[in-house]
Amino acid sequence: MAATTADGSKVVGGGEKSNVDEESKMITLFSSDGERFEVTQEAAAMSQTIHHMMEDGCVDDEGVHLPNVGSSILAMVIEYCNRHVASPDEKEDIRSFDAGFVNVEHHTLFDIIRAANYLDVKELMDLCCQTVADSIKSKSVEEIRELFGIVNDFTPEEEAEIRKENQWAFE
Amino acid sequence: MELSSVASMMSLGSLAIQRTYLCSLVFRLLPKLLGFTPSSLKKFCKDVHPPLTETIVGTLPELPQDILMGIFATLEIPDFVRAGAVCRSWRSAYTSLRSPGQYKLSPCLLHTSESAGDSSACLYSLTERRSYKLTLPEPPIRSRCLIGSSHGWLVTVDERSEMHLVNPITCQQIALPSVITLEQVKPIFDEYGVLHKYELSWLTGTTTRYVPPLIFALDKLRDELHYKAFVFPDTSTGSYIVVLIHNPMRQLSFARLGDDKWTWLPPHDLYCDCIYKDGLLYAVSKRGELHTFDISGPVVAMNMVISIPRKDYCEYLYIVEAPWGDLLLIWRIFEDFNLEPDPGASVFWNTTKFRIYELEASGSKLKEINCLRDHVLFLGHNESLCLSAEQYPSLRANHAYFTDDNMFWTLGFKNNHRDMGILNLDDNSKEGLISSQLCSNFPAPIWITPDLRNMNLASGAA
Repeated sequence: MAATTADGSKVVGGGEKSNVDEESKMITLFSSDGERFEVTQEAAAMSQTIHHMMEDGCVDDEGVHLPNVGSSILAMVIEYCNRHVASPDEKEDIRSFDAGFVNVEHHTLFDIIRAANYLDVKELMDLCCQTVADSIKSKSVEEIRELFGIVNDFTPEEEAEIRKENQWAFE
Repeated sequence: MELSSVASMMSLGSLAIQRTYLCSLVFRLLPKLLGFTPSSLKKFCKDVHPPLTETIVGTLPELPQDILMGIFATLEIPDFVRAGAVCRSWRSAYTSLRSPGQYKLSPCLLHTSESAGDSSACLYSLTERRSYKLTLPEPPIRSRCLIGSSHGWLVTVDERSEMHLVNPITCQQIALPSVITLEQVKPIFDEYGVLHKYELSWLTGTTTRYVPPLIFALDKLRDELHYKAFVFPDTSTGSYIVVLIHNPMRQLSFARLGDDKWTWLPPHDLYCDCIYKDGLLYAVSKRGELHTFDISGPVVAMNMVISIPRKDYCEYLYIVEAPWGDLLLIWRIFEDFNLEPDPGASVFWNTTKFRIYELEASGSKLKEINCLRDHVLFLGHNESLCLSAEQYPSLRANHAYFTDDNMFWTLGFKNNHRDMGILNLDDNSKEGLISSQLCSNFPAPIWITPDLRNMNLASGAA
């Protein structure tokens, strides 16, 4: 859930930790398109990249700029992190949250993977990669290309050669 | 190193990787700012995939190679092979992942079926519970015996009792030295000089009295002679060593790929199973003796590791290296069998349990273990396997997956039911593997860990 505060910046809070006073210190993240996100340090630390920056004292008062992550994707990653730090023990809830979370268009899923890779959020990477793998299962090559919007960049000769090598898998 | 510059390097480095991604962002914003049309933007940045359309930005399907490899690593073989045919970047990840140690393939059951044809084999996937049809090179696979399976190779014996290695996935086939180069076998030629029979002598390392040899038709020798074979990578040459347990008396002979004859390893016999570990060949015998052979030098050096006198011989013993490094000896027990049934009834034998012993590190004692906790066994004619269930989530921990390698079936019971299935080591309950309608009894089904790579071997061709 996102709420807009008085000064126009977005505050994305999760679960039980919506009181951002004493306990949870906040950190500001800037997406590539300049949008501002206020996140608890705990949630931000799920990103090893940001975690190391915080530990090494590289985060100044302004916050962390993430020129590689767009606002819509960053919002999703933050939502994931907030949800996972909020109630890490409620396995069932988390599972159903995760299932809903990855139920997105494949190009969005790829964007999230790239962001999670850059930000080094292992759990999110594993979740999304497993989702991609599950989408590949039992599909033909054409179906996979269509699903992910991938262009076939083999020459007809190359493709024939590839199929010949393991003909049995392409029946 | 300056910490702040690391941070900026990190983002710059990622910028480089994400260049194409950023290009798409630029294209999203520029038209708004500058009023450019998509087609004129195309001239500025040619290397964006896919080609720009009216709706601009789309999907950039390229993920970094290491991420693709992480995704593919969880796929079963048929999906993995198909993923490698999608586009160039996916194929590149597929090729990198195919190398040994990278991709954890779980064993499949290789069998034949009458409906699939004589030259086809079926690869049954335990996870998908379905079979894939593979076409194998001549001679037809349904006319051969399957006596071994290691590292993706099947060891077959054809109707002339000659052995080959076949990789059923890549169809690479390699002929092994002729059966007549075994010490105990002599060819017999007819009046035209054509080979038409074999003579099998009773020569063993310990025989002293003369026993007349037996004569066999070309296709019948294999019923008597061949028991089990193993293929081990020979790290010093980059090629393979094939070890054969053969009769009389289950002796050992071996050959390197490219050798023109088999090398006999007397004097011991009654061997049941072999593995290759730390440059040594380990062989366990029915008498409960474990021997090691150093076959790297010109002279073979043999060593007795352990001798466990047992009052009751076990006919079916397996030796396996556990992932934690120790050796396990496994006894296969048949408490349920009938070899002389009443008229109308059939012969049968059923595995009822396995007894597992761990060879202690000192090498002097065997300790019985009751449970394999997080591990899985694959036993039969294949090279015995003990796998970690954690690395193969589709397999059941503390279970033994077994096929029929009983010597009785070679002596004439070719159409008998197969003693194969999945046994729960906790309570010895059993489950079948595949419906007998879909799976022929001969050649006997065998486990295989497929290898997708074509081997570049100096001694090549079939």
